Amino acid sequence: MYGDLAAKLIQDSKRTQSLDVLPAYQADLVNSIIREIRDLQRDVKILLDQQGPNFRASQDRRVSCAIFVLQICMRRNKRCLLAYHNLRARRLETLVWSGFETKSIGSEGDSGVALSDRPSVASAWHPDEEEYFRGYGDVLAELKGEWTDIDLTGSMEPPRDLFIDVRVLKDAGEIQTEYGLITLTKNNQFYVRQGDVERLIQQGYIQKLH
Amino acid sequence: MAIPPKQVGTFIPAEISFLAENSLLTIIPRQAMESIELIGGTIPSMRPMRRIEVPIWVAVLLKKQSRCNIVPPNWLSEENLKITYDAEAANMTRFSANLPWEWVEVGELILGSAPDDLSSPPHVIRNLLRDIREVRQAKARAGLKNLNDSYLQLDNVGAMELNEIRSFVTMAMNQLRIMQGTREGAERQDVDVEPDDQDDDDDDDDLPRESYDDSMLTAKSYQDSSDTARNNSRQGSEFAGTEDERASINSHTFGGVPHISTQNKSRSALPQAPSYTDDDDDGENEDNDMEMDETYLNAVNSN
Amino acid sequence: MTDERDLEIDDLINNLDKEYYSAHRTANSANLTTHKSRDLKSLVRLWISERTCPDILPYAHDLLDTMLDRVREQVEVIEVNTTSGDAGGGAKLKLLFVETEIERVKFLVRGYLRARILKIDKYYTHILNNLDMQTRLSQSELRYTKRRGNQLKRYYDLRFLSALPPSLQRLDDTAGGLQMVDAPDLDEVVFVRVLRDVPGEVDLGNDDKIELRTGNIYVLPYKVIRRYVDNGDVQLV
Repeated sequence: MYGDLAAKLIQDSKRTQSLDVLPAYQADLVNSIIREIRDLQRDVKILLDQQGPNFRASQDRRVSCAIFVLQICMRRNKRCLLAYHNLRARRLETLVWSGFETKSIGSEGDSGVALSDRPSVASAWHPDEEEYFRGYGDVLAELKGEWTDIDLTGSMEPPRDLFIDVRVLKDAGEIQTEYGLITLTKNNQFYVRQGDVERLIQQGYIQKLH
Repeated sequence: MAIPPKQVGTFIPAEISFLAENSLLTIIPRQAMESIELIGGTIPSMRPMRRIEVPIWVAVLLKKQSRCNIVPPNWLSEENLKITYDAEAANMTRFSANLPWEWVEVGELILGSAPDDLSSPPHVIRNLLRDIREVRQAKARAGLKNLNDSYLQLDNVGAMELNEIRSFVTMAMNQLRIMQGTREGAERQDVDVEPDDQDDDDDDDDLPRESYDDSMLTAKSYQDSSDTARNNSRQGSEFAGTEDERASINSHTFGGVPHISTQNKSRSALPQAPSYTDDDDDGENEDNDMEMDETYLNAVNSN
Repeated sequence: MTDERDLEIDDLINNLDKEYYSAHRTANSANLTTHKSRDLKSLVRLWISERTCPDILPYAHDLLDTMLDRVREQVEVIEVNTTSGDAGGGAKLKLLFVETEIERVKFLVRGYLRARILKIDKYYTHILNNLDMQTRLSQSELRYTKRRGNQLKRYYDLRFLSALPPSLQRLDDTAGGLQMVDAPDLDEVVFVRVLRDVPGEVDLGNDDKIELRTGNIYVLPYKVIRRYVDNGDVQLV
């Protein structure tokens, strides 16, 4: 039935919404739907050609109804294609906003970031999607550049506890903070700027106290 | 998306607290401090024991450093909370006017940062706040049974309380409105079947695309529903109450709306393919159908 | 009295709020504080409104400029104080408040802008076809809308649009009564709080009428309450 393929695409979209990682691009399905639209268009043309140049819809109800149905199917297919690609584009944009690194797809993996993600991500995206990802990245970078004072892509969680109490779990040497040098010696406690020690917390050198 | 899905169309509790932190609170400084110029005003100079008003976030920071004591607002005293609880329990159709807009957040902030400044043991205050919250939540749920597509009045609801029902109320009222619109559209179609080109544009503005069946997703409604769906699933976890309670709200709400039937729903004013597939259809709408066909033919011919 | 003297001292020491002071040199400290607190309140209101309103509101040029100027001034205060190195206990404490507040203001501005971008992304075709919508955007936002629109069009073209019959290649076609352009739905409901009494009743367009009395909280379609939001009788919450 016309539209069945498009319905599958929509099912895939629904599934996509519930997944954290963008699933594989449905290239075959998309191409089949495009083909279906073109077939429908051809059918319309054949029908019209059969009627000759003087055909008027009001004269032949049968033919005009048939054409109407074909048109409806074509448009519905187009809408499904739009919905699917719109969803994918929005997901790619969300990744750009979250600071997802392009280098994990594009160039050689110089940094370790997202290396493990690379195979799945690369195979899931269509090359045109990689292009959109980069293209939107540029668009957003320009916008961000106009708002350097407020860090446009910064956290959407309200700021809390600029300064926190921490305990040093293992010696971590000296760190430079805006308020001078701090020597992180095991078991010492400090009241420090959270931004200065976030990495050390992640790496397990120090621990946040509550 | 520029905003995380959980923050689309609603706020996360941390944001509601953040807003409350801007409101003023009285403190009693324990140490002197020079005044500080800020973007949103001035923290006045502090002298020990001389009361001043500062934003809550300032009070919390000062308190953390033992530089002040917080003066809890009057409504947060044990005595007043008891009175409030009784008032809440006495009238199950209205929220009492005894509490400020940001009562939930302010209560939590003070309990969290200055429990020793309360005039009663913290657990007493905490329990009272919880009791009040529960009795008010029960009212909110009862109130939701009266949802309609026109308006809902929620006088004296708190900011946090409002935010907790926001996604649900928004979704439900918008859906009701859409169903209402579809019904009116269907009724209008009975009288006036006129899907010609100009009219279609008008119809599109006030008729919901959602009147298609679910599988017939459009770029628009699809996108919309993706946003709300996320919000709603979020809402599910935040809305006070069990699965069962939520389900009962659902059925009450929708059950209370008369005349919404699947029959009406399917009679959208938007063109529907099946009615045109019948070759032998020579009903009363014939002329209008023909006009529609001309539109399509024109589109084809222009290729 | 004391406040004023402290203000003067602060002013001398830190040379802060230069522009503001030159404009309001004669204003007393109470006035100054009122201005500042009013502006911050406006920013908070804007942040809430843009997040909760189905439509894109006019960009708040003046307020944003003012707030960004003040953020920059405060950042300077921090830099001056940290590089001067003395950083006594009092100075540190002061910086804690200054810096915390900067983060709070940055969060609000960021959230405001991103709430707008969320809607801009969704309604970009409508915006690009609608001059009224365009006047509500900043130049920066409009540039972004166009550039993103081009990228997105290219993605759609490459993936499927250019392979379709010519009559189906547009993103804004309306033929056959199916509108593909997504526009703000002003019928969506919003939450509002009444700030001052409005005489008489408000007709909701159906059979319902409501009163707007200070403190009332309603949920209703944005369309019916919009003018009262615009003139400040009610606020979005």
